[in-house]
Amino acid sequence: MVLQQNMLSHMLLQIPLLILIGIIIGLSLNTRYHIKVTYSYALPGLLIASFSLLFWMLPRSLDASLSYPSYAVAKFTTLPLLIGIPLALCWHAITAITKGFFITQIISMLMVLAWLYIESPIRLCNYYLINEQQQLGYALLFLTLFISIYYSSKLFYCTHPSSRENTTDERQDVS
Amino acid sequence: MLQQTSWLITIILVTLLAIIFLFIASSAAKSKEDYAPVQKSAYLLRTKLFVLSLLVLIPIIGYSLTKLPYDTTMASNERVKIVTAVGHQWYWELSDMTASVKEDVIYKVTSADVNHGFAIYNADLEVIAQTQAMPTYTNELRVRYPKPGRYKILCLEYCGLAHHAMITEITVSP
Amino acid sequence: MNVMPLPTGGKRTIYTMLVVFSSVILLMMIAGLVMRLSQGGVITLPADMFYKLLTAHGVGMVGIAGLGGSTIMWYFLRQYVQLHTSILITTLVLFLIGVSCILASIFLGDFAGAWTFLFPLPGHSMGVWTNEAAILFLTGLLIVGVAFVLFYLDAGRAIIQKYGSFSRSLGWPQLFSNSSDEAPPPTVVASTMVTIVNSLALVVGASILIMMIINILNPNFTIDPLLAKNMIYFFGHTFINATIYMAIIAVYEILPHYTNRPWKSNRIFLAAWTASSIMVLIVYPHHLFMDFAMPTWMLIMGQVISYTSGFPVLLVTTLGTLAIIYRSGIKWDAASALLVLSVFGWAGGVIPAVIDGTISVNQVMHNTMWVPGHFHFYLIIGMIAMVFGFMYFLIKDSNKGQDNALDRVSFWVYTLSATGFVFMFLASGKEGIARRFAIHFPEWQSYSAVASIFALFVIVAAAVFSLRFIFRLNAKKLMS
Ligand code: HEM
Ligand SMILES: [Cu+2]
Ligand SMILES: [Cu+2]
Repeated sequence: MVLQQNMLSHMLLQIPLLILIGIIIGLSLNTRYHIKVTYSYALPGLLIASFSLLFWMLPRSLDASLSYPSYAVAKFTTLPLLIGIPLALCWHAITAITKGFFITQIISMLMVLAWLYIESPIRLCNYYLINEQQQLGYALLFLTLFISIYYSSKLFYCTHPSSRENTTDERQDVS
Repeated sequence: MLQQTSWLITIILVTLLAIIFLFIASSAAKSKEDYAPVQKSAYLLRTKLFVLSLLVLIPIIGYSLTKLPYDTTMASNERVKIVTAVGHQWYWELSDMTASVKEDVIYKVTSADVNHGFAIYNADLEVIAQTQAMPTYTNELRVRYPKPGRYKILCLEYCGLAHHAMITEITVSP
Repeated sequence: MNVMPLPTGGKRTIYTMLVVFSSVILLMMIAGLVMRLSQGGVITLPADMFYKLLTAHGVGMVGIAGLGGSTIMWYFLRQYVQLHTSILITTLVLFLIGVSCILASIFLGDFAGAWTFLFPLPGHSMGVWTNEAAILFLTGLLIVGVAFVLFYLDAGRAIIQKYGSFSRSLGWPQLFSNSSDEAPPPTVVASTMVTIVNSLALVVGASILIMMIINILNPNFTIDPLLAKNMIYFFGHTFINATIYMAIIAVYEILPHYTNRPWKSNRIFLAAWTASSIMVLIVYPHHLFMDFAMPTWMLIMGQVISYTSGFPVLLVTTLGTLAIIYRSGIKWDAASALLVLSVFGWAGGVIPAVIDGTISVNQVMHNTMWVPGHFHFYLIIGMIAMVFGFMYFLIKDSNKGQDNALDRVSFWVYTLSATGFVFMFLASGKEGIARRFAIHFPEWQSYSAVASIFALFVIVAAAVFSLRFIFRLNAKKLMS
């Protein structure tokens, strides 16, 4: 619970770690049972994951997870179960375009969240001070920058041939 | 002055460009030449033009950058008048509506609501200087009125329904 | 390079997009004419109506230019990489939904915050329009943005699938390490550039749109107005410039047909496109010269890059065009003539643009009619001419056969009246006439009145282009 004492580590360490646990579980499930998720299941899976993520990014929810045990339980279960596992199982099953769509959307979302935390004139959380809130905002801003630069540069240097992509992109033209 | 120069340069360069296009286009259909030699001389021309434009542009950029309007620091012995100017939807609020040709005026321009543009027009309706009026920021615009007379302040940033009517007047004494 | 045939579904979507394009262009041009007439005192328009038309004209023209450019890019890029027709259709549908929201917000909700929607004007209208109307407008723009994001995601995916990475499709191996492989064709290079810069622009644009919507809903979340301005102009500048970088593909692809001379990527061409990709992203501060609160280094960078930004691609393209037609035995018809005209329009419009990109000139020209002067120059005579040229190219071999005298006359009417029209804007700018003024001083009015006459002829010519396209398209369908 040390991680919760500071807003930054709560949001940017504890939450990602919980998600990571889910991802690891998902991956091991995958190797053990060879779960094959098809496109039609992957998309809702990822939608659930992104909405859950959005929910836990909101200051209200963070706050509640510190005040109410029910929220705390929800946090510790939904982060791995609803975000980590779907992410691990579904990410490979979606097309490159959907992936791109998620990534661009997450970048915009993080940018907006960063601004929300930086600019908010009121204390959004009872548990954290307003300057912690701003620190978190700037941290999110850097995270956004990092993700954007990471993905942009990947597009420039992922010079592997198309073979892998082709498998997911078989459904070519509808025409 | 700058307006006239810009206009003249534009007319000259666009006319030149049009003549080149017309000249080449008018003979384009008539004969049919091999592409390789044409391409070769075009590449050569391209290099020359590139170097030439660098030679022309670099001094222009350098010179124009000595004329920036941003620096409003003043020497202590100067006679300077400080005026605050606040844009509102849709009127100007100036702490002083007069000035003299003998003094520099520094307008501290800001806005109480949306973006406005603080532009000073002379009696011939020519812009002599401008800056943006932004909420939460103050832009300092330093002006020396060239002639006594009446000047107008117009809003040059779209600010809503009566944007075009956001006008006030300044009297400049000799 | 094996050229892939266009699927019928793709063809039909392309034709639909072009019909949408022509209709919107005509409607918006008429809106422009009405504005000009009202500024000239010929008709009286209430100020609120003028600003609604201004908003509709600005956002409509920018959006439709984006759509027109995308049509060209898709049509030619499809010959080299596997694009999804389904995504193109989704783009078009989302685009139309977004446009409906925008139109509703303007004409039903009275929104008139201009297409640049500068913060905080949309949420601060002094009761002229409601917050709901503003949110509808911003949401409409967001939907249009999502439409284009999808379009570029598909383009980016397809390019990477074929070429491996953007550095390859920009021809960096050929540019930097002397690779002897054949360089990617101009269409692929240009499409890559636009995909990169517009994706960035759209992500930033979407963020500021969402921020502004949140701000209207809960004003406690304030936005720094200068940050908002930076984000909006980064998005707006990049997007409108990219329309030309997409449409120029028509010139690269079609002129070789007419002259039997190839337009290939060589090292200079690749270098020019790479240089312009970077510069187009950092040149936007030239919209903020009059924001003295900006860091001065950014503004100086804005000026320097303004001088050099379009320059590499422009020089390569203008000289390339002149070289490819020079004594080529080219067959002149409406398509080839419009495409050559468009390169003139682009290069010509850049001249007053660069002049205004000088800070000391900007001090007396910013937000005067000089600004619409330069961008109408390269949009009407450049960008739009590229799309009309492309449309004529598509119907070239229909059974309604050759272009006739009407097409020839319309070409010249368009060229001359459009030139007259933009020079009236520039002359107005020289006289210090303010842009975006619903009502002009009496001494300003004659400029607008004369411009209206030119505008009328531009509209007539554009109507001929559009109707000929639709008519000959029908004839072509009947034949096949
Ligand atoms: C016959 C053709 C056209 C006419 C008569 C026309 C007229 C006008 C007028 C009167 C304005 C307002 C000027 C002012 O600030 O006072 C304007 C603005 C504008 N026009 Fe056009 N226009 C035409 C074509 C185009 C085209 C083809 C495009 C783009 C592809 C375009 C894009 C714009 C944009 C972006 C603005 C700025 C709107 C704003 O200030 O918010 N126009 N036009
Ligand atoms: Cu104003
Ligand atoms: Cu205004």
